[in-house]
Amino acid sequence: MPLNSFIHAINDHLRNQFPKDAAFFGVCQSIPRIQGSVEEVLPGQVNQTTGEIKYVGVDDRNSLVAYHKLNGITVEPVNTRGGFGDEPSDTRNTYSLSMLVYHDMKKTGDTSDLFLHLQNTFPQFMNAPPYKSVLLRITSVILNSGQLFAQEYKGTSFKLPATSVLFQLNYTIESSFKRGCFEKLCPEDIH
Amino acid sequence: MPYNVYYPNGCAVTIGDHYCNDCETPEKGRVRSAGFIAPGFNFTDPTNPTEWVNGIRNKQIVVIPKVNGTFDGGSEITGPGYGDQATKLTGFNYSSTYNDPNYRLNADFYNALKRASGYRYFYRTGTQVHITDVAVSVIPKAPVTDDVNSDVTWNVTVNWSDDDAPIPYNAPAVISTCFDYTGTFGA
Repeated sequence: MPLNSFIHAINDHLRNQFPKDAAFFGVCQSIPRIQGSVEEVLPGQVNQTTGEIKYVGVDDRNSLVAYHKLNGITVEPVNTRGGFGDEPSDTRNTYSLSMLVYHDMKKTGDTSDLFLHLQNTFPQFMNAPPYKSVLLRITSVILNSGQLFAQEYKGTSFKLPATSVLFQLNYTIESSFKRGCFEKLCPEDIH
Repeated sequence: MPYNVYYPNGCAVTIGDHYCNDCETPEKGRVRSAGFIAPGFNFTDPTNPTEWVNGIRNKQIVVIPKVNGTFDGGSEITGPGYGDQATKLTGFNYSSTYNDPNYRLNADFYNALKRASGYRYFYRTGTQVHITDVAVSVIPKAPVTDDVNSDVTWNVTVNWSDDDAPIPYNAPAVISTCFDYTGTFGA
């Protein structure tokens, strides 16, 4: 799936700029599970082949844990570019995503500094033929740790330690392409 | 001795019947394909795909299958009329412009084409191909804008002068199919 390739490339790019114990995961989901008589919700990454779920949330092994969530896709024609031949226009898929970042301030420093570092290292574009353009844009940040913890860890018995922070980076991936130009399912070579 | 006089019939032109159909499917716009026909090549039947395929294989027809562009319909050339006619239509200057998205490997092609003489031009709208009766001049340009997201394309202007507008013919599928001489040709 092309989106997984984009996320993989984003994580590879960020991984080089952060401490070695920072963990970056791909597209994840909120996974419900029954703990005794309580239903909990935890973030997890689903192995699409085996169905196995890997927990990707808060832990004390990593100074930083980040995972992505896909919120939706907007599809529209690219009017400014114009199509060629009989095609009316190229197509633009805009993926709306969130990157949830947990970090231990004792190890990583202040959240505002971390966000600035993330913003400066987050890629702005990718070369991914046959896509004509792939543009990335950070659109907003949610810094309310309590709100995000309640959203991502519903019903859990543990709480976020005082020196730990959870924030959410909202961003879009705008990919423009000409229909019919994909020979394979995913672009192999993303820079 | 008086001379016999006669009055010529004038410049009567036979006008064919006008065609009308309330329910005709309209012809859709955009110059969608374009190309050039070498001097000496003439169609017997422009709707016959075999003639096109043979012309392409012999490199007497150059097809640019997927473009976007316009045709201006012609700018009239008028001259003084005589008698009761104020002005007289003497012809048209025609211009068509198209954008070719395949930029990188076509510089040699367009640099040679602009120097060539005697080539006629054709363009395709939704279902119809239109072929000039006369040779054209070709002005290729590849402008670059200050926009990292823009595409650099060949912007080609084709000019010619003629009395008549190009006649539409049913376009064969071969002129809208992308192909390369190094690969397998498919009609």
